[in-house]
Amino acid sequence: MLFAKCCEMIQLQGVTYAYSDSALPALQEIDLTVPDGQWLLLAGPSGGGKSTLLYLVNGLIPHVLGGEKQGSVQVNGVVPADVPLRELSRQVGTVFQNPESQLFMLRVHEDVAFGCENLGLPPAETHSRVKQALGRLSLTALRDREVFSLSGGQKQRLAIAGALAMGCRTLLLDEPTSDLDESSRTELLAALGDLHRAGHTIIMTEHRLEGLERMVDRVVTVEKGRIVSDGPFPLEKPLPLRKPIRAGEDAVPLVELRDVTFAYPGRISTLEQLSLRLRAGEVVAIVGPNGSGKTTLLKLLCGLLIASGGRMVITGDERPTISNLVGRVGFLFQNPDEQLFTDTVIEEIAFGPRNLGRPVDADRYLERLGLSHYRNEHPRSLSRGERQRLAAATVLAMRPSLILLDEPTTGLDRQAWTALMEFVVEEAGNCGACVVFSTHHHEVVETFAGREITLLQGKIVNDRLL
Amino acid sequence: MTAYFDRHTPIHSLDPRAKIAWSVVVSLLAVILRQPLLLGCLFALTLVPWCLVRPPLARLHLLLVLVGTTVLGTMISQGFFYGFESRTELLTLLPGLSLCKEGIAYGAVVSLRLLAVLAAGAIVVLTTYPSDLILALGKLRVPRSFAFMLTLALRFLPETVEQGKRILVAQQLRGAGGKGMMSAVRRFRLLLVPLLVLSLRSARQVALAAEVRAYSANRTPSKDLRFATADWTVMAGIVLLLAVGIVAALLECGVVPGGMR
Repeated sequence: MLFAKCCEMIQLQGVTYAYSDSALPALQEIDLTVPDGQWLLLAGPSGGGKSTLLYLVNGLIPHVLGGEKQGSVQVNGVVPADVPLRELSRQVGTVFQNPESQLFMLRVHEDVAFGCENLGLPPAETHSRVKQALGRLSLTALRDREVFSLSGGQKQRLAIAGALAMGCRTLLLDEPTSDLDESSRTELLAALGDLHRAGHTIIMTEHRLEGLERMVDRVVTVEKGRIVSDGPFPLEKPLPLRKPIRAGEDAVPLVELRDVTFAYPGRISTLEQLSLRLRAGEVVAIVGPNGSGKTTLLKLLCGLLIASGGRMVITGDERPTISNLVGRVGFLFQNPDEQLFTDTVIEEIAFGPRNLGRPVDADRYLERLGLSHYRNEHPRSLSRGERQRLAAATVLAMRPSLILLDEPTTGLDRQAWTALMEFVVEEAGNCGACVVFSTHHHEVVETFAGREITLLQGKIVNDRLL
Repeated sequence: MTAYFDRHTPIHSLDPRAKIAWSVVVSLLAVILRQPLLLGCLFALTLVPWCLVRPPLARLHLLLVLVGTTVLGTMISQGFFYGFESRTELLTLLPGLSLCKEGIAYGAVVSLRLLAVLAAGAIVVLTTYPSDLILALGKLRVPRSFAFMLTLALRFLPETVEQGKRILVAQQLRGAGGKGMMSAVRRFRLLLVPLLVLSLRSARQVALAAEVRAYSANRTPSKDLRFATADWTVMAGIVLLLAVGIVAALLECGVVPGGMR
């Protein structure tokens, strides 16, 4: 028997690790023991070493990622480096942040079976495990659905089901809820709670801590490669109180929607009879569950979609199309990498204004973002948070009067999303622009928005000043 | 997001290997047969499964447009550029550039071949769920790593297409546009680089996720394919068709006395 049952399931002693392409260690002198059945939350800023710690436990380090390691790691009494990854994967299951990149097969039941098939289990055994795993994650009804038709939360539960079917008692989850809306997140956390009660060991990295207070047993904070705190759930430091930005009554209306309806071809209406007025200088949060129409509304506001009914006036344009609104409306995508396409950071900021024939002081933006030393570097050499701020700068450099942001804080830690939103709100304030952002993140709404609009099934169910 | 058309028909129920055999045999006969009449019969035969499946026309719109354009293009180009001696000119556009009857007929023969191959191949894709098709390829000794690569391509293609669309929109919103070849080339480059980077990053994540799920080329599929009576019957029909087709081709060439030459 390769794995012996013991009470101290995971143990790291004096672990220091550096990736092969980096001189600096990603982790330093880590001592950590996780008893069997514990739910451990790894907190701390991005780049602090949380994911690296998970890779040491699941064996990706050193089997796949290599690097230099000192100290010892033991999982259930064995050293991950000494057993094949294939054997370790029977014990330790991993769920990554992006649900898209960890599901391989086309149908739900096929994907759950994927790991069992890799382990060479007999088909009858695989079928039985798949059935059981689908049941435990409440996915039985979705058994024959195509994977790409699932919601983010369902995909994450599917990834967990795949690990359970392989027989894993330990689950490692790397920011599993960062792409999820509130209800999907609640569903996923409830499923994890069930697994925890059933005795599974869970180690999870996460930036969003709300809702986890009564669920996890222990919180370890990792910063700059070191464990800086270890104990029960800490109370988060409250952000300094900010004055929410609201528009004055006499502010210029930038957006006027009256009874606007939109339906994608062959589907029922995504937006129904939507009426809305947005003014210059406002900071507006659009909230609501996935599929409620948030992104569709933003796409209508930037002219990417054309309303199927009702009246729309955007920045004075009664026929808002993308080509009419270029330069007047800016759009920041969730994933910055989809809107960074030039070869240098400075060129990226200058790209839009130059196309429009507008002057721009690109260096001022770099200075404001603290990116001046990356001026002539490739945008992809920046960190995720820096890339998101650069992408925002590319939008703001065109000085649009309406700035739209689609879930801009997804995947960012507190420090990164605060820096991003402060930058956007400040720059928008300088030119009197209206900022509209969709989000699932209540803290961001409370900190930065002056108005909150709630969508549900394509309708505005709440519109209030904060 | 895939070409699969979900419906319960006798063609859907067939073993994918029988359908692949059908496609291979029709393609072979389309190559060896020469007479327009025989090729027409072959094409007509390939329409039988289509009649049983009866997919909605809306679903086939793009395919029909592509096929129609190709057939028309082939007939017209052959009509103008047919290189053999006997040419019955129907229309002269410029000195040395005329439409000839024999060229159009030759174009029609080439088109019939193409239509037969397409009709037989498309019915396989239309009526077989992609993972069953990949399982069948595995059974036909196609390397499993290749089959897994195909699965991943099908799984991730929709996401890559969506990413490409979003990048183009981001460019458009930042005023990238303009007409002409140079502008198009520039936009294509600006699309290609981030798309490649995103794909490579995604590929790395996929590789890590596959490793922690014990990926191995020596997998034990949980589903198996078995030939049923209907599959054997269809296979017998396919073998018979092949035999008849070969004899007809030999008769055409005059290898067998009494040929049509």
